[in-house]
Amino acid sequence: MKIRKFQALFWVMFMIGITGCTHLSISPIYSDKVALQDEESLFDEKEMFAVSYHYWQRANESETVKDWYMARYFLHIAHQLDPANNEIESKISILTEKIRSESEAHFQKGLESYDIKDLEKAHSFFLEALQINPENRKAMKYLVEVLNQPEQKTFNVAEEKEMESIAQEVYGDPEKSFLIAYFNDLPDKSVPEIGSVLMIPPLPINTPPNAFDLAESLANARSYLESKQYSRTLKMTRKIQKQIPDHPEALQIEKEVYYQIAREFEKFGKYTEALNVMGNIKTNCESIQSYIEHLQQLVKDRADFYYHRGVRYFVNEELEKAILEWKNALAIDPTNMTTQKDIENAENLLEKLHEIE
Amino acid sequence: MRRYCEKKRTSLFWILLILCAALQSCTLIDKKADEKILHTFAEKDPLFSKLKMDGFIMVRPGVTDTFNSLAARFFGDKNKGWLIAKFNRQDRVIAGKPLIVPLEPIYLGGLENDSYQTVPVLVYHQFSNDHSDKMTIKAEDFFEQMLYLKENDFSVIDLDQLIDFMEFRAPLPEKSVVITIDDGWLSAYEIAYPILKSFGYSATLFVYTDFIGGEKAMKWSQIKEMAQNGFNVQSHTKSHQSLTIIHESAPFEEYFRFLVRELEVSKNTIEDYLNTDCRYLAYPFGETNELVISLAKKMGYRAAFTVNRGSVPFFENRYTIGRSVIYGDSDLDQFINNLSCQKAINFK
Repeated sequence: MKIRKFQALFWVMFMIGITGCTHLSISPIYSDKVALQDEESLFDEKEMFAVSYHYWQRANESETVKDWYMARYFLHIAHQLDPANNEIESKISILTEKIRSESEAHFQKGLESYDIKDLEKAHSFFLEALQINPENRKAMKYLVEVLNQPEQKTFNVAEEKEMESIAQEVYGDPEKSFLIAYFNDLPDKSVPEIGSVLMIPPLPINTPPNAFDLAESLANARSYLESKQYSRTLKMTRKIQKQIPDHPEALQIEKEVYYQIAREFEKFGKYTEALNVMGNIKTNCESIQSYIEHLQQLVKDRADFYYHRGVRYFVNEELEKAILEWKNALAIDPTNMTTQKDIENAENLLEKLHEIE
Repeated sequence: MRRYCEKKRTSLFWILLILCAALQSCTLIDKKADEKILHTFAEKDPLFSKLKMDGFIMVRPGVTDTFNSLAARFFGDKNKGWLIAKFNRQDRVIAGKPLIVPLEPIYLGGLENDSYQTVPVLVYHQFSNDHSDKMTIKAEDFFEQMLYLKENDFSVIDLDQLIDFMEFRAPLPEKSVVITIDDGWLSAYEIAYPILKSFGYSATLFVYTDFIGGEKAMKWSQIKEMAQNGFNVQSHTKSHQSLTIIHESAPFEEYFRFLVRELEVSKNTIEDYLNTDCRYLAYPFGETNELVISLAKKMGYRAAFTVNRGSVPFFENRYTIGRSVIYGDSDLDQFINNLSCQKAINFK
């Protein structure tokens, strides 16, 4: 009897064990593998392959919309979970190169636009370079720092100079030496070390202009003039005159610009245009006056030339051609009343002739 | 026959006993699992498992896991649950279904191939229970606005998060918003603070330190209380005078010393009272110039704010970040107009 009871007890224990295990294996959310381990449980191969395939598909989706960076990351995940898949590996290499080269190409386009001051385009290119490759630090720097902030001015201390002299040089005002001292953590009356680079803080816009800005602007204007960049030269001289109206050197540069432009027009026989350009010159001097007179004479000669050709046609009773020539003469010299009258007469005659015909 | 019946009865008894025992064992296992879930978070969840790989972690979430709990576990920041949700394109965690926790920097700047993210930075001034005017918003209107943010899944973020986003260091939830309250009016403590708390939101207080302790202003003790409850306290200068008005009759140095005082005293005062870093500045009237910006940088301000309306993209100048003032006379639709979180781009 005792043996039978012991057997029964054995079976009970056995069944409890079986049932417990069954409970674990039939539960939909518990897996035996996981349950047997504490935390660092493994995923089975099938599961990893399924996740890998899922991310392979997502990589394809991202690639379709040209989101190569995310596509590469998805492929990376897919590859880690399915390392035997060589196809993924080679695709990652292709994408890596594509991301690098495309991002760099857009960055370079951004730089080109930046150089010609087309900042809106530059911004768009840098943004795209960064979208293609968020690790493109150069694009990030241009987008966030260069395009946003004015270039930080610095001063290289090449010789022993007091702070006032530096302030005089950079601001045209020795009294602003305290500003340089403050921003460079130096005592107000100190002499900066030779070889050091000082940060020059910007002045607020409504501070009166200083000699340094003026000198720089004049130098820029001269350099633009030398390289025949006339519109840039004029932009610079206007900037100077906005600060200091009728600044003599700015006016002189401006005069030179107009003279050069007029000469260009003259070269191509556009005397009226040349004369119009010379009309922009504010100051009057002998040489300018004589050049203007020279142009006026050229204009008059050209008008006379057309006028006389018109007369010749008129005499030969070629009224239409005469009118055309006189109109050319009038276009060059609209103040010539004789030409105006001759055109009217010729037109009346022509009209009558048409009526008779 | 009797023996047979007795045998059958005995067998039945044992079967019943076995079933009971089996049931009991099941209950025990379930109880144990519950205890683990209840007491050890997901740490000991029998279902939970993880596999650390290069650049990501594959996780089998446990029954108690949420995106936020996983974010807390793997990023050390429960507020980044959205990142796991977005990456896995799931709106809820399914126990047992593997998830990928991305460890690579992704979604930076909210920059995608057809759009980029923008973050609205809202500015409030005064609050009142019974009236509104241009700069004073009624409590009920403020409540309605916060409710709108909540119901529309906006995440209220702080300035550190905003600047990390702008520096391309960390991504933000797609609908993120910053709430700032200027000046330091007492009503910010009495009215806005409890409303914000009720929604689980915090805000940044830009205070001008001369004002604090005044009759209509908050006291330092109140500001401290708000700071201890997650509010951020930053500088709105010392006296709230415009930083850009230069009196030509006065020496330039006097103007400069004024700027230094305005930026330095407020920063030091806040840091002394609250024992925290003061790293952000809101220009009075939103006005600034190049010298003020240089000075703010020199003094260690990490970013500074104007009141130029519009949401902020990551590439905005960090020293002229725009904010949208919410006026007391604007309705909910006008408020919503300030909440743009994305801008389309067309790369050609």
